Amino acid sequence: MSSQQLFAVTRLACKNMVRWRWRLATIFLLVAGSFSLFVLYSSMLSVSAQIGVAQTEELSLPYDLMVMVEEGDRIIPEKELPTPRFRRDILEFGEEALALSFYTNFGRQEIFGISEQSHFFKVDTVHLIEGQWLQKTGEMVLPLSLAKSYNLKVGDFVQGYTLNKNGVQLRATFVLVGLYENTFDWQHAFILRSDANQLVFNAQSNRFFVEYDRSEAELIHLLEWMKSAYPKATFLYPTVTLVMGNDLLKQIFQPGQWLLILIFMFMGIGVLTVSLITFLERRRELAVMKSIGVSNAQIVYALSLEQGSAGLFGVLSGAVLIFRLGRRISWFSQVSSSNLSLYMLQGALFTLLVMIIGISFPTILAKVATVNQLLFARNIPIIITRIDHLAKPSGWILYREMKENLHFLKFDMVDGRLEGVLLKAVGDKVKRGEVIATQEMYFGLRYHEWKAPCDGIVAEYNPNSGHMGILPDDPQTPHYPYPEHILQDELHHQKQMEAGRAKARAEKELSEMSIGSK
Amino acid sequence: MSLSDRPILETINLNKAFYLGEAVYAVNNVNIQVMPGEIAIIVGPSGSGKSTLLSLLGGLDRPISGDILINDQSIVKLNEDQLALMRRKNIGYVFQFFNLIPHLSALENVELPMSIASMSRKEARERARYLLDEVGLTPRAHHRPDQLSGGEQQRVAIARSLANRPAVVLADEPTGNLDSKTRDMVIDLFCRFNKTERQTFVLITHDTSLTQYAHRVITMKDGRINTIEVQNP
Repeated sequence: MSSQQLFAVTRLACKNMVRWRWRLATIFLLVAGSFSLFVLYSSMLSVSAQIGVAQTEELSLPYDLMVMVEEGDRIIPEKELPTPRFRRDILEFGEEALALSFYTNFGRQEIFGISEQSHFFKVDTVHLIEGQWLQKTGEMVLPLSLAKSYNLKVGDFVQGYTLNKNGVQLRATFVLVGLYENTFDWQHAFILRSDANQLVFNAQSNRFFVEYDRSEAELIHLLEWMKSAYPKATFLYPTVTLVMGNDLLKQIFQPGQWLLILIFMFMGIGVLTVSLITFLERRRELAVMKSIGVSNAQIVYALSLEQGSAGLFGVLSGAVLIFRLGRRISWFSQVSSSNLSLYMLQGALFTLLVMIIGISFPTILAKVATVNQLLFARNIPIIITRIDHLAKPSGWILYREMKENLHFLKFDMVDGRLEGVLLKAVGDKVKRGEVIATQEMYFGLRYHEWKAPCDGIVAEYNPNSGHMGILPDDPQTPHYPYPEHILQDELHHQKQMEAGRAKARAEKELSEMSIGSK
Repeated sequence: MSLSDRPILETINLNKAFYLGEAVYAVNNVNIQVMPGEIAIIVGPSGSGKSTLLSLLGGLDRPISGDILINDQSIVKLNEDQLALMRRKNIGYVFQFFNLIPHLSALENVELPMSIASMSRKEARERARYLLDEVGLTPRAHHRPDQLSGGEQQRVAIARSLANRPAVVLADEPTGNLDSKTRDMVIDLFCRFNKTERQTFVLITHDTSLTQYAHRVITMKDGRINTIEVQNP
């Protein structure tokens, strides 16, 4: 398109915009509304998520990660752990423990059976405020808050029992030797591992406490490693609450994502409807444009410019609206500029996509239609197929093409009827490229045309199979160049068939002769 | 045969069929020739295939078989863009219902085909003014189609069809919607442009009185050519 043509078409499009201003205003409003709604709603979700996460605190734990395996599972010895994707010495220290349920008069308590030389649970790490740490069997240490709530003092005895799988009770009595302050986000009673082993049948470690090399790796790597070693286990680590909070927020806001999709679907249907209605009203105008020599590219350019401008101004106005409305919304100031830019970019891209879908259908119709179709036709086909050879050649027909020098076409038949119009009958002369049959499908959106493959005469027509054989005027007329292997395979197959038939005939004749001679 | 003896418009075994419950040949094996500088009038009763034939000649529709040559160039196998280019350069079309672009003034309607054909805006405007002057519509140049009468709209359409000096102007019932006085004015325009600019016209009509203005009268019946008469108007 030359610059003069471009200028002329642009000028025409500008005049069209004035004429169709209310239609374009509708597209403009749909885009502006949807875009601003998308950005504002996305921002609102993001701020809500930020607030939700900010209100979730990290846990205070004496270890970096605790692995809790399910009942029946066991802690894998450190050396047998699977090889991690990264360096193995990320694991600074690992300690096993046995957790068990201990039923007392005060209710069920989870007790940790730990080693005497525990790395994580000892006087240095827990704030012992009264008594002493575990030294020998039969001793127990409790958090101060728990002891207070049960009215227990150092020196008191704690009686209780555990239950094995068969419901048999194993009773035990411990003396309370120490109380520690709850500076961590957990409350557990501690006994020595040897005591715990006595209380549980087939006592195996079911807790694994880990300290990792913080300077070298991230917790996420450790977690990944442990998850690969214990796929069914539960994990406790300082930021587990943040992760759970985020997951929870995602679940809460999931329906919101659908709403965002609905916004754009609504916009797309709106844009498509408006531009389709406008196209139907402009059919005559488009026909005139085509009749005076406006090319398809120029028509597509003009239509896209008209409706694309409405979309572009819609996005820009939507952006202005967002900032105007944002001043009146209390939470809007909390949206980070990077998030806002991202949502605007996403909104603009979705708008572009929806606009392309909405505009393209009527634009394609305008592009493919002939002048007469625009002026008179009820349906304008978008998909046009023209065929002048067998599209899916069957072996037998191909063989006949070669043997009898017929050129075949195959129409789409339903119950012995061509679903369209047959323009030629047996005995009619045809010219190469002449339309022999046409068919409209899918509400007229698809148009199918069969053309004569050669100059000749219609020699046969089978209304059941839809095959039409054309005998060429010139016997040397080349056939459609089907792939060589199909032809060779078929020739070979048919020759074998003929040889078989000939053999059967010969055998039959021979047997008849022998019966005759007898 | 010199170039001027060659037909400017020619059809060879032209066919067009529609499906109306069964295949109906609206144009059936039509062979016609129109020489440069002629006014050819195609007459025939309603349903004889005149409008279909004209649509095919103008590349507004596609035949099922046969060929159409304009200036010795076949238009049947052209794709849509080549066809648009061919229409832009070689064909002017006058519709029965004028078909002007409603939001453009008379001047802009005439100017549009020239702008599309890369003519400079100044040149296009000058020629549009000249053509509107020729059809007697200079005072109405800045009126939109809805502010013009039927006859005036048809004169604008004729001016538009002549804008790019096409090889042939095709007119589909150009007087069909006009009163007798306006009809005479329009026919006079065709004759004048034919004489002054040696413009070739192909008109279709069922008004047989118009045949007196034609060099070639083609009669159609049931999609076929019935008679072709060559005469001096």
